[in-house]
Amino acid sequence: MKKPIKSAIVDMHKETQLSTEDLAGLRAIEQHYSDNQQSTAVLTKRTFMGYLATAMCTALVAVLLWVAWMPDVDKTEQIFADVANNHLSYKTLKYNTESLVELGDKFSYLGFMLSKSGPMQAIKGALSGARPCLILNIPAAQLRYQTKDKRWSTVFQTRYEKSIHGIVPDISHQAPLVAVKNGIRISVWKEHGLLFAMAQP
Amino acid sequence: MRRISDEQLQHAYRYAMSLTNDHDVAMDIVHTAYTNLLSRGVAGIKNVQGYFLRCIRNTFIDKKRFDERWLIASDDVDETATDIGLATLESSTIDQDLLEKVWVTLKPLERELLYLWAIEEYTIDEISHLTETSRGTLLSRIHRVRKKLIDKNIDGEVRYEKAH
Repeated sequence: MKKPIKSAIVDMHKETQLSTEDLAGLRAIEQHYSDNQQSTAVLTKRTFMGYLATAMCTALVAVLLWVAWMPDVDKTEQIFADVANNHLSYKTLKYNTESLVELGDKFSYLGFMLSKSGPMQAIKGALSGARPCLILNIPAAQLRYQTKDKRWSTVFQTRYEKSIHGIVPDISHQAPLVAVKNGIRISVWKEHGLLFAMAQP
Repeated sequence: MRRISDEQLQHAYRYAMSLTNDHDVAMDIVHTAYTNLLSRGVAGIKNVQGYFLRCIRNTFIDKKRFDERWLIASDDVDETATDIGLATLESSTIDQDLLEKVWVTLKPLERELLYLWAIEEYTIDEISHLTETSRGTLLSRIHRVRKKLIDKNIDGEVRYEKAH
């Protein structure tokens, strides 16, 4: 006896069903997951607290690093600015001599002795004299070198104070900080307890 | 509290049966899909029944991914058949015994189409959404299924073919 296809399909599937045993097996799986989820919920809560603690610690470290590092960046920027301004102003030299030893004696009242440092060898010119100046409002010696092309390079030296100058590379095992400020290439480093800054055109 | 009702499990099993035509394979698929569903949890799912059926289908596809025999090779859109919708099946009749004989000769996706239409009472658009199959492809499939059912119904004989 013929019947609509839809009815025939429905009737055919009436016989298709899970047995009691099959259903019980699936319910057993459900129970297993229900038990596991309760323990997982506790674990998830603990994991979340762990993530929260980690995130807070990371944020704290980030803030501390920022607090410790940002002022140094500001100080270094100020050093670069002071060096550039002093270099470009080309003020009259107070001491005209080619002797670094002699200039050292002149500046001893600043509380340090002038010194040579490795990066200064890059200067292609002769020392023409020096004058006192301020770097971060700290008295410093400004040494001027006249180059053959009628230009000049300048080396600044002052006592290095970490609290004032911030963290500056130690030339004994670090490369100097280098920046170009107002068209002047400036290098900053420390050696022998002195802060060095070199300005070259 | 039960997440899935007995009736929903029965629906899932019947759907799996329509795809596989094999109790053991169908149970394997229901087991896998149900496990995945429980792992995910049903909170936030608006249509649990539809979601469960989709899980069944995806599990079936995963199992058959490396066996292309289940795919209907001639499933490309037949433009001449796109005007034949589910309404043509609604108006057709068949002998119950003959249907059961023809049923095992149908391809899995053809059985799936008939199951979703007759048992779940899905529209062509709902089937298209669930199976992520274009409307044109479904209409072509309906055309082929109807041809198999009606032609064999008229001929009164069934040529047994390997289903998958």
